[in-house]
Amino acid sequence: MNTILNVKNLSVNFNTTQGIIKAVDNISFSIKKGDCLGIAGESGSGKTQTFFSITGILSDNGSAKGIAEFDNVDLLKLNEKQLSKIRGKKIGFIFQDPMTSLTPHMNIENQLIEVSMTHDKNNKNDALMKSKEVLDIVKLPRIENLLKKYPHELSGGMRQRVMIGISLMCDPLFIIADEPTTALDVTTQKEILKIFNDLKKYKNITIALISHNIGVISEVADKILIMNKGKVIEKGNCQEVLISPKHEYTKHLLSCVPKWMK
Amino acid sequence: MSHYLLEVKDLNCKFEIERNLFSKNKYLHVLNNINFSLKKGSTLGVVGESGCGKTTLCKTLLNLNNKERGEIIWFSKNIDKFTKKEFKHFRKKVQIIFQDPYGSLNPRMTIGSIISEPLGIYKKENNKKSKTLKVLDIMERVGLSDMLFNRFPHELSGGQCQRVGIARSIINEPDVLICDEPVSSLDLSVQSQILDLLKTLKSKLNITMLFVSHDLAVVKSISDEVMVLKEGEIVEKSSAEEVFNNPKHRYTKKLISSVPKINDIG
Amino acid sequence: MNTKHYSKDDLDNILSVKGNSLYSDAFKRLLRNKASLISLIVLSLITLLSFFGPYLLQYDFYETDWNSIYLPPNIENGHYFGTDGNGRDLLVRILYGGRLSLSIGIIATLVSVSIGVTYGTIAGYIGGKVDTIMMRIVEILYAMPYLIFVIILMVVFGRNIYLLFIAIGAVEWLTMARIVRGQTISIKEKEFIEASKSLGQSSLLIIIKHIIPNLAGTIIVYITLMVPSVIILESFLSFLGLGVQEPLTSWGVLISEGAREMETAWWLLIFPGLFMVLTLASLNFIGDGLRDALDPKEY
Repeated sequence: MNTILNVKNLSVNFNTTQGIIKAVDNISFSIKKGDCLGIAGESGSGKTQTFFSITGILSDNGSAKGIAEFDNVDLLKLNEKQLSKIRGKKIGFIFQDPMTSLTPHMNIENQLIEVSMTHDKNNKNDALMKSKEVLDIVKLPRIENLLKKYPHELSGGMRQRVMIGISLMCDPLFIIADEPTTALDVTTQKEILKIFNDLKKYKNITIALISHNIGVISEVADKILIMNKGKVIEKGNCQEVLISPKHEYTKHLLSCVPKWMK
Repeated sequence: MSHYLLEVKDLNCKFEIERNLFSKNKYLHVLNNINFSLKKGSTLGVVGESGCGKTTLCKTLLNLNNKERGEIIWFSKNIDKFTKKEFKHFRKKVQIIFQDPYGSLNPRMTIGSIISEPLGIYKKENNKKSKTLKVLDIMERVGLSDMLFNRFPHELSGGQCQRVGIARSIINEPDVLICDEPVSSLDLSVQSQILDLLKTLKSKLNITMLFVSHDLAVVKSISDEVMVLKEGEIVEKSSAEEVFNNPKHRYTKKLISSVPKINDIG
Repeated sequence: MNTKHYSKDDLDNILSVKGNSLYSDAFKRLLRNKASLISLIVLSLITLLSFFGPYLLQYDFYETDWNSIYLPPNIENGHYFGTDGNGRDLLVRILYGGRLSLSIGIIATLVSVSIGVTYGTIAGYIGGKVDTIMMRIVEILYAMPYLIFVIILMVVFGRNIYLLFIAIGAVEWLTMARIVRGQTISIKEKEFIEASKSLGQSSLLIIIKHIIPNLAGTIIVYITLMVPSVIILESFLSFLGLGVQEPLTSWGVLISEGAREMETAWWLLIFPGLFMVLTLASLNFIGDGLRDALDPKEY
């Protein structure tokens, strides 16, 4: 089967003191293997919760229902133990703020090999070899010292590369990148997006790229999903949707992008 | 009388990062030899990436930061030579809008009190009713519903909070508005609304603006002149048209080419 | 500028819309915490009983009755908690003691809060050398044996009840000053303080309008934790014979007397002890509840 992720009628609700909040409202979409799906929307649109709910990292007061078939397994039917085996191994994550996603008291080397040793049960040497390979892919300079450094000693761009590296350690099939470049400068952002394009091209990894920045999505994504208030407004081929948007909301969103960027 | 509201000459700022007892203290030079002027009625855009010193520049111009050396001349008077009275007048005439819409508002104060605070500082004869009316008037101008008067910042959206910040800054009719990344924390559609609001206020109230942002597109849409900062230094300074359509410095070109573009007209 | 015309009704409408302050949200959260809610009720009951209860009882706290000494608790003769060595009704004395202990707890705490907050905000806000000197003074005072200080005061000025208030308050302010100074330093860095400075607000008004209201949460929590410590301090002094004088009484005095008669008249220790423990526990639970309530995870 060519489709790696098939989501049907997914709904995510949060139980709060103000009542039940519908973060994701009955959405359906699918991603083909090797494609990059860009999920665009403003804050509160449900784009992040969609993927958090599928992979079991919702906060305690959230609940999800529907079907999420990943590699022929319905993720929503798995328990936490089974999901934790998939996270990090088959599904990699890249979050917005690498400073808070990386463990501050562990050096880079240890964080990279931890994933490999936990999931693939590699010994330390094999894991170290893999980490060097991964650092090449993300174009971090191969300095001995670099591996021994701590997150706070690196720049934002370098930290994000480390994050991408960690997500690649176990050869995942699918990477979920949640606002990966929002906290970065525009020049660094360009480099990180190039890494994403390389991953797609050379490693055939499927990517879900969540961002409120449509420009970022258009640089990498093949398909696009526009979300607003928990619903999918429009979906389709990325360039087609951006050139001739059909839905009013998409048109409105595009009109807010400064003209110069088009 | 100069028609420059602000002249900056050889401004240098440094931060202490290490204090040593027996050897020299270590400093981080945040701004190096900054020279520029701000013409009345114009908008100067300042672009640069993180660490280039743009926020430090904003705070130093307002004397919220100490400078190492250089001259900051506001309304033809050197800021170092301001008397107490002149300082008070300066604070009224030059206002700032911050990046974080929630952080710049006191979470324990109502919107009405936040916006009226500046009134209490300068016009002590105002009674409560006239203050309230003035606040409501400003709220309408910035597009805030008057029902929000008694609400608290955490009950408002990011865009609304930013409007509160703007209202607070303009209530005493300043001559200059320094905008430090005012739309960076906001959603795309809200960004364009706030930018439109700023453009309207600029023309209606004839405010001179210094607009700082890392977002080139945003800066281009609102500025007459643009200054590009890199690691504390000005690498290019020209009209907005020139800088974006005909960039001269290598770094400016790199910045412009890094911005992801959507290949269509939409 | 054209001012839109607002009728009086319009203005009343607008001003009547009350927002949910962070404090009212916190209060609602506090009430949802069961331990805090029960503690609030218990504390309110004890307070009401202490101040109004004696009017409902038939005996006075100084009323001696040599025919009824060391009576155990019983219902018929109205000595619900028994009597002491002078035939005085224990229940009434406990309630009167409550008045004193609670008053000392609150007043001494208020004294120390006032001094501590003023000192701490000034040190924290001004910073630099002033802060260093002020905090060194606090540290030196901390190192002094406060008990000796209080005893000297008591000896020199006599066992005056007001002196007790002041002596205790003057000792407890140190902790409050330290805490407030630390909080002030962190609040001072926040952007809305910078915004206020940029508006030209004076330092004094920044402290009053912006810093103190944002400290209030911490201060309230520490008050609920300080009151028990003050009550215990007073009890300790009374236990040593330095606290309140006859015929006035406090829980500390009662417990001290009760401890002496523990083997023969157990009620003289148990009942005052019970009131004391309930009050202190309630205050602690409320303090915990407040700390949770004022630290919202949603924002």
